[in-house]
Amino acid sequence: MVLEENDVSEEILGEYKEYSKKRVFFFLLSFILLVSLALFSLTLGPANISVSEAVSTIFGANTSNRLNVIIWNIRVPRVLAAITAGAGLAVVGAAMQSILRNPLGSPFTLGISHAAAFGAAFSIIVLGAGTTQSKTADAVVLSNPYLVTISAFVWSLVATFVILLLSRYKNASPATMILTGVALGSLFTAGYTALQYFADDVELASIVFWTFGDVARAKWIDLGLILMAVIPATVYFLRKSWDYEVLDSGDESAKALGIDVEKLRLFGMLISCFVTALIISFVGIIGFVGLVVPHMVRRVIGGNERYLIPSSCIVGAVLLLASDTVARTIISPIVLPVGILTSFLGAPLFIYLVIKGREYW
Amino acid sequence: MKLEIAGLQFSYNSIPVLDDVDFELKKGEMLTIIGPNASGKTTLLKCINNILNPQKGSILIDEELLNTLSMREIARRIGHVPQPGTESFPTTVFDTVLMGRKPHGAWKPNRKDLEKVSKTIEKLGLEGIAMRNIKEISGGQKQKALIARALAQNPEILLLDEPTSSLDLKHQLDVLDVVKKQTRNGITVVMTMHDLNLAARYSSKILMLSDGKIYDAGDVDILNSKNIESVFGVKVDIVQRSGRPIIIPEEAVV
Repeated sequence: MVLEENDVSEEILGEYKEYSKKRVFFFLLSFILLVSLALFSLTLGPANISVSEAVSTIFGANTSNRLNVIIWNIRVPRVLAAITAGAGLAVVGAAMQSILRNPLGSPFTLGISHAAAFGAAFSIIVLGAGTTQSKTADAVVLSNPYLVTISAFVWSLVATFVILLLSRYKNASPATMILTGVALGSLFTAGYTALQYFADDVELASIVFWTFGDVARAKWIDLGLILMAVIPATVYFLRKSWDYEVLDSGDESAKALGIDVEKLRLFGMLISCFVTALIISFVGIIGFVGLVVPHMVRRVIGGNERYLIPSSCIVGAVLLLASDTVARTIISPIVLPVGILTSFLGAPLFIYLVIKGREYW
Repeated sequence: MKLEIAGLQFSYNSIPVLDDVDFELKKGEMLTIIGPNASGKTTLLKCINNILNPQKGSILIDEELLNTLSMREIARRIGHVPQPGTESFPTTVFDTVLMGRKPHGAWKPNRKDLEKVSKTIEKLGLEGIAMRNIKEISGGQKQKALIARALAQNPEILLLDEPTSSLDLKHQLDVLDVVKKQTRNGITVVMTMHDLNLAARYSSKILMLSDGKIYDAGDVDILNSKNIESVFGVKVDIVQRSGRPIIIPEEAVV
């Protein structure tokens, strides 16, 4: 049968819509997974709580004071922190990979996390922002968390600017950028080690404790602050996702398609850096989420930023929440900081992706 | 769409690449810029697309100065077909062509964009590979996909940077036929090319660049042995066949 002209283009359109549906379906599936995982996670812990008890407590139908306290003061903030941090880090990772046109781009591999860690140590030791109140890790309190956040942010800005300058003025290749990131990472690690050497034991405890990424640390107010960064950043990257998709086709192509490439890069890097610094300074270093999640999503639905960015957001939340759930139950009653687990999990996963997903590097 | 270029001058780090380039092109003409490597062909193309900003001179599109237009406005008028191979992450042919709607669209594509893209894909005969990964199709198909993307921009001017350089014989003709067809819809075409015979066959005008200056410009008959010898440093024999020159290279002039 000979197709009429219109039929052919209708058919192409239909095919594309079918394909887009699959990408939307993946997003929805991840979302459902996230919600169920969140509910499941609320039931886990030293106190036995059933799903129905958890749900009724959340909707205010439960009057048991004990349940209310456990759910609202311990488990919900923790679950929400895992979701927000995971979502934020993954969105930022996806954006950075596009901004730097590099599959290895992430706040972690570019030394920005190290810079933030250095910034935190700097504020604790030089600016005196941290004190511990007892010997147990949970009681370590940063007397001025905002100073730590600001310091982490400022120092991660320094790392960002070095990388941006290099890519802007030296026309650096992706490999050069990553190497610069690695160099910056070790430079900040060196600085961080030096600061530790001069720290007293209280300060040292604060620093060491700080570097174990742990979502349990985030209190309601911290959560609010992280959300105030993660939500606008996610909205920004969603609104710009088509721009980033065009950027993926090359700088010159993007310019020819009317994209202000420099501006898009600069804003993207600044926002990514801000979000990373904020998340890290509240929950500590959580590696590999930003790097691995976009690759996982790309392997399933392809590299289109319009679908990659929203899906990465959800999958990032799923991954960190799942990791945290495992971390607090795997050797119960000891609760592992999730940062340790993501690194254990992320490295082999990343190696697997490098071996299996060679099509774009 | 009329394109006028006057007194164009461009240098990279004060090394002049283009010097005093003037030319004019009418709607529906097909101009090929030829010249040896490093003669400034690609630079000229990038200046016309405002990817590079010339230090001196003016580029006018329908009597409007190019550098007074925003990047988006330029992208709605000029379609650019780069040399393939710069994309960093896998994407489908459809999504690639869809990028051509970006300068017209909001923050995400709408139904009209999708329809326009489907029609463009059909027009270029890419329907069989619309959902394939752009990195996994042949060079000829990729070139066509990039042309489709530029056409999805709905441009009045189409710029192509060596569109045939990595293609086999059939695809060279195939791609240039597609481009030629666009001139009949009133699109003005400017391209760079190394193959003089293809240039002679398809162009309505030729611009010969040598060291950033226009050596000669005009109809295909400027492709004569004297011009080619002094610009390319190669002795050639030229035979006329069905009204156009066929250039047969003989030896390089030492």
